[in-house]
Amino acid sequence: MTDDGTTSSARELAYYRRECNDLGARLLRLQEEQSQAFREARRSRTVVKLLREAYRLGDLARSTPDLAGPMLELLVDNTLCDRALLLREEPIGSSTFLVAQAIGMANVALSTPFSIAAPPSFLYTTGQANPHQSSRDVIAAVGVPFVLWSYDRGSGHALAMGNRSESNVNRPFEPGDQELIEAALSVYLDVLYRKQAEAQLRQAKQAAEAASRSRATGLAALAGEVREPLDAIIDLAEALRGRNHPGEQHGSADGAVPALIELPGRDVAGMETGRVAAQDPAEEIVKLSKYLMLLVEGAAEHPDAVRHPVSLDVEWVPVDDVVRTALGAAYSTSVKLGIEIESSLPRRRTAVLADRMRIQHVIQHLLASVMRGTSTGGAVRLATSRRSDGGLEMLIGSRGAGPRTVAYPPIHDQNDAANPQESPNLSFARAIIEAHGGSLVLDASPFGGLMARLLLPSDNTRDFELADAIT
Amino acid sequence: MAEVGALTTNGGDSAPAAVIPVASVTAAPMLRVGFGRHFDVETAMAQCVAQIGDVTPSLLLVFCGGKQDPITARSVLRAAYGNVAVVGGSAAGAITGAGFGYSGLEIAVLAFLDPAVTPRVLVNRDLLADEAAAGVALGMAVAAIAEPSALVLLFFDSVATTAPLRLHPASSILEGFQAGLAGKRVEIIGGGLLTDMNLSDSWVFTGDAVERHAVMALVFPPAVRAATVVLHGCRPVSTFMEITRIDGAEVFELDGEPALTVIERMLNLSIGGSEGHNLTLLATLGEKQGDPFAPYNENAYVNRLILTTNRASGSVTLFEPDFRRGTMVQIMSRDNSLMLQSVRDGVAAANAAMLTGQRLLSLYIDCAGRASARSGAATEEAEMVMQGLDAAIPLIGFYSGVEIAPFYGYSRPLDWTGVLTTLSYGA
Repeated sequence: MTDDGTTSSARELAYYRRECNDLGARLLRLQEEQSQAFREARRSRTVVKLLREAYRLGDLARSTPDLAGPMLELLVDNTLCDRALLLREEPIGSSTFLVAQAIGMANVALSTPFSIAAPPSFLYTTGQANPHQSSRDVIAAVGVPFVLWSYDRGSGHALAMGNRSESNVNRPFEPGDQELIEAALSVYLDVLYRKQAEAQLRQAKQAAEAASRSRATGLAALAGEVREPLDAIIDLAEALRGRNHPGEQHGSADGAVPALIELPGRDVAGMETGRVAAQDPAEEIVKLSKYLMLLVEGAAEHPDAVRHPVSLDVEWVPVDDVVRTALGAAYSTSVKLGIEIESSLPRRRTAVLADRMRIQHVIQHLLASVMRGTSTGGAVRLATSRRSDGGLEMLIGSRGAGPRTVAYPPIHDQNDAANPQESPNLSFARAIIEAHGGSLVLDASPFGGLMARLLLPSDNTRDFELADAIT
Repeated sequence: MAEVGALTTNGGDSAPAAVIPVASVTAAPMLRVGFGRHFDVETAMAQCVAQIGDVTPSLLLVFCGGKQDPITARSVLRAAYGNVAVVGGSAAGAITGAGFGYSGLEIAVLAFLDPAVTPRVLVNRDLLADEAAAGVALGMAVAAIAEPSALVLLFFDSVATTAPLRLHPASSILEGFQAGLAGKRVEIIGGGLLTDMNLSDSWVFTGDAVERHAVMALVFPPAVRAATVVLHGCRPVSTFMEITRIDGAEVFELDGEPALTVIERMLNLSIGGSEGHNLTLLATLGEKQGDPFAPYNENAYVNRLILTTNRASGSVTLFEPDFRRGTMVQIMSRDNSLMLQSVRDGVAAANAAMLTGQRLLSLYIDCAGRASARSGAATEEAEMVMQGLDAAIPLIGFYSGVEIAPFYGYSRPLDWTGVLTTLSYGA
């Protein structure tokens, strides 16, 4: 090869070497840019991922102490920092911090309080700048030189991440990391408050349940005490009834009562209206006493009956029978209070599929309650009608001059755990109506006093003749 | 050097040999793996114990996340399994069939349940004084007990000092170890242990203690065989350059110019951290084995990561001091797509490997730099390994500082690789 050829080959080799190195360098830079872009994307996703996982954690953690560790674990897993700490200022505003939870630190550090002068709401440290005093305090607390810190002055909570080397895995902390650390602290506090609220609710529920259990125990004991004298009253009342009506066949205690109520005339709408007359008092005492016995036995067996499913003994019951009996029972009270009772029944004789004894007691209880809220000289109206859907509606309302101020037990009771606005009796009445598939609504009467609205569904309501056929 | 039962420690000339008690076992299956991750080390280790079950292991190999307290971790194992020897150490992350991660909270435990597959363990604690001498002592001890061609796993704590950062060079340990073997052929696989990806610290479980500056050899019975594939991911991006001045791992000159200047000029990039003291994964230096002008083959390269740079001297310090003056090197670029392809190919090769006997275990020693957070790869290559291997074979692995595997017929330290070994037992 000639000198020219050698020179040419050397130049050619140098050319290819240069091109090779240039291409290689470009390839490496492209590769690095791609990696860098992915790492940046990963960091961007970190905040979102952290928030999502932290809120999910809030659903899983059972209590606030269960929260701090998993929260830091999420932070470490997503950021790959060397250390992560949750600190609590005690007392708030004192600049003295305790480590509530830490990852990557010796246990001894967890029991040492740290003083951080004028704790900043956010800071990060780098190798470039000389740290301020507060930064130095935070660095001392975290125990490594490169720190990312967020502090919530209102709650006294702080969150810190720390790295031994500035470039930890990829790059140093920077101002853009404020979003990450503050979001992490915020979501921790959100979940913390939520768990605290849940814990308070749980405690309140437990206290209410304990009170309910205590009341139920008392009720069961009372029921036991009442049973014996009530038995005696029934015996005496039956003896009295036998003397008043010698040789008469009396209805059984299940409600098959003689028709003692007179309902003369009709109103302009064609509905039957009437005034009640008293039943035989002895008969009434027997019925009521037997019903009371039923309740007492029920209370002894299920003291918290309101929370248990109500067992019903249903049959097709004529509505007029139930109404008459309830009115009869209320008669003596209405006379005593000077209250007039008016009633109306559906045009067509109607029957309801119901537990006669229980539904009758509910109506009596509602009547009594409404009467207690009615002034002397006023009136109480019991209006029963069929709704357009075939169901039964019963309105028991006061038409008096306003609620009386007498020392009758209130219909509402603030101490009832199931519904703080409702008395146990009313809760029980509501449970009975709901067990029949119906509803009971209490409201203010447009004429003053109370208005009770009882609805039974169409499935449980029939014309009497049809009901009779079904039976 | 003394040996009692199946486990012996080698303390070098200065340290008396310590005896690690061994539990007797007779149970099937032969191995079990547990994985745990929790901010509380007791809970994490309890997760491992729950997966391993109520067994009586003869030995426990543990890779414990560097943020966990090793003493407590060991106590939990002792409470569960009694006075069994625990070996292994810290890991930047752990990999098993049940999960993987590199947050520093992961723990992987391998329980050896059958003496027929349980390795004998030798430990040398003299790394800080002289890595090569420690390697020689350990190699001699291994030569005394190992059958020809036996599988030997080597583990050591990678970080020698943190200020300034100095690693225990695997190449020095390995050269000493080979010298100690005095010609006895064994198959060496292993890795350097780290607490995290930032080379902050490292420690090892040495049977009944937690220590630093120790290297251990797990010498397997001859019935246990291994097939290994090395997963790469770097390609050359420069022409060949000659190392013209080098001292240990610190390369001062390439082609007669300051090495840092040459590399930065060629890449038109600044490498290293702001102060030049941080590990850079931007580029590696690779030495091609065999014919330098043969077509590119990833398996032909030994690559060295750049640990630190020194702007004042214009030098770069490599992970290992095994390049010499006159070594021809190329600048290598990490290539994530190549890395993932290498994993696919390697896993397929591992699954197809012709192995006699029963497949016991897959062991994956994975360079921490290959993790997605470090490399910027869109996919976690450890997950690809996990999902690609036969799920019926237990898998255990860890994120390492350096990997050791057979390379061109001779085991040597590797950077930026994944070493995937399949262990089998029986004829």
